Amino acid sequence: MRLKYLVILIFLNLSCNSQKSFQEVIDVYNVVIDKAVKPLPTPPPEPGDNSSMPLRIKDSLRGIKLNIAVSNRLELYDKQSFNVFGYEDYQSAKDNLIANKNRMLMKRNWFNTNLGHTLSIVDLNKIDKKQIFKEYYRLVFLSNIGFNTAKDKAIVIIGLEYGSRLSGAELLYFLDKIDGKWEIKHEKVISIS
Amino acid sequence: MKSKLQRLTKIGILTFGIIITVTNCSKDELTKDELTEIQKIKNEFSLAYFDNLFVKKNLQINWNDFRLNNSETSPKSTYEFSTRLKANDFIENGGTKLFFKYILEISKIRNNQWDFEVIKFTTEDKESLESISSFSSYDFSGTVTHFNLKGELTEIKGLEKGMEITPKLHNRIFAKGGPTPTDHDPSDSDSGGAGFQWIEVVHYTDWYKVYPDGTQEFTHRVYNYTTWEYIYVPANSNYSTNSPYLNHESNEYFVVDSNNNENVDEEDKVDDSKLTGKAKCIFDKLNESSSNLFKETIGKFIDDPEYNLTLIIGECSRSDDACTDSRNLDSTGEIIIKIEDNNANPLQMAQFILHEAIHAEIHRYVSRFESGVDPDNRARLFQLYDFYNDHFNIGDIQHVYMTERYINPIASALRKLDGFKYPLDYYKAFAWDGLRTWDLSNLLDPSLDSKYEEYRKIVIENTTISCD
Repeated sequence: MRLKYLVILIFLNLSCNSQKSFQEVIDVYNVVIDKAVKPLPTPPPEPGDNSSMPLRIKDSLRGIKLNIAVSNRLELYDKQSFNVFGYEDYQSAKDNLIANKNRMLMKRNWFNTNLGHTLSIVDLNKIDKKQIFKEYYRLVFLSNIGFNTAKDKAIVIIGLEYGSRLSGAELLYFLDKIDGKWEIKHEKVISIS
Repeated sequence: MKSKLQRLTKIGILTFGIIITVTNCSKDELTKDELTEIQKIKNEFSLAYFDNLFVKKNLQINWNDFRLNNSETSPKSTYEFSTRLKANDFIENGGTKLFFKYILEISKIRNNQWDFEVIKFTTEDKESLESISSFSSYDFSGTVTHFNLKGELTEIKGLEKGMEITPKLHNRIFAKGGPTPTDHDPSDSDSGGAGFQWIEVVHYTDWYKVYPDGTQEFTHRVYNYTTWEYIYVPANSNYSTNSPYLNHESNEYFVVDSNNNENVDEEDKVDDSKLTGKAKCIFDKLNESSSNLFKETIGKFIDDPEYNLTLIIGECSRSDDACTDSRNLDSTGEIIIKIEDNNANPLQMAQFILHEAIHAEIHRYVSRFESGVDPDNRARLFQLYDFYNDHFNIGDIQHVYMTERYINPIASALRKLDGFKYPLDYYKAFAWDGLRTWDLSNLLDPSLDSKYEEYRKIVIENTTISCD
């Protein structure tokens, strides 16, 4: 009888940990997708001063909800493909990212980002890219997330495609967990087309 | 008696050994203390906020070469570190040549709190700088200028044979820019006609071409930046202040083979050796056609020693055409243009190369600007960077900028490559490739775009560029 309780407890604990860990992954993905996929506001008039985007424009942009396709295949990186120098603080997160060979994106109950963009997980073996670019604003490719041992630093790479010639980018994000929330500390453009 | 002597000898040797050990131990202890203290100083020291580009860029501290003034008469211990410069240590103007040397003086205020001062000695007598020290500047004639780590002038003295000639400016914290003009009138009667003059120093880099036989040829001069400073002018001297003083740096690039006119830097600033097939052929043709755009993008890497551009045939993660990889720009200065589609038609291939070359050059330019070296003005680019700062990534902002500034230059370069066969508009469909999404100012009317697409077909069908 006692053994039964023990097994149940272990199962609940594992399940809870798995749920927490999945939520952590989704939290990071949401932060970077919201940062990388943006609506396209009109540039400031020229000539003009070097001021940042007015708050009212930012507010109105927040109201725009986008349809984003996310590939169900995760992009894998090895030491050679992840040859980014510097950022020593994130070394263990880097190692963790490179060591993680998981190829499939878990997609349980993940439909929206924090900004309310709609996400659709797509299988590129079953749907043509041209079709995707007709239906979705951006096609997103994600890497695994590399966490440091304390799980308060993370790195992730996000790729973007939007159809036509020379239309793609690959961005590397360094995140810190501050007061329980993931925040982007550095953004690095790895490549741009 | 003999054994007593032996015992005494043993005791003597032992005592001597103990003394030596103790002495050495205490010496080691002192060195360790100093090392720990110097390490703490090193951790606190930074020229990142020093408001003078020359110092910020060129001054290096010799952390192993210091004097320590720890005298009982002085209430605080003071380190004085020697320095070295990555640039020339003199400025000149006509017949006047002024040499200078910096030292770093660090005084302990209290435990773990340090006061940093960068002290500059400027003089006509180069030899007097060799062993200069603020602890013993008894025979020095010239200017002694003190700065804090923000580069603010905190003290300035004019010395002649170690005697202070201009006491009225001593020991005063000046506002940014130094004393006001009324403070340093050379005709000031208190100082017998001596005084301070505000001078402009223009910093240049002279570039030399080095041939295989070792001979050098001056090719061009690149303006870097301008700084301003005060110098002490002795009475009855003929220092010129009508024109700027000059500070030169020299740099070299190497000619691998002087016969084929292919100039490649020793470290291959532009390395196209890994290009093959159509991409290599078109790159060479673009090089030969020498369009303004090619010179202003690829060409900029030849002139700039800190950045390397490599062109390769390779796979782009998120494009089937071409991409620019800038992941290590900040650390190694390397930018890689990858051409993935090596079967594109010649004009499309040329467009890939030019489009990516623009990305590469903007990356280089912004990185140069951030390091404070290139004062060239691209106001619109920085306006867009500031406006879209936390909205777009830098690659996206470059695309917006390219729609505004590079459509005609790309079309024009393609037209030149194609032998001026058609009017400029015929090449604009290519120029807009990769930029249509980023036309946020609606510069490309959809009906115009359709017309350009018709032109594209005509150009592709009739081009005589051959790379098969």
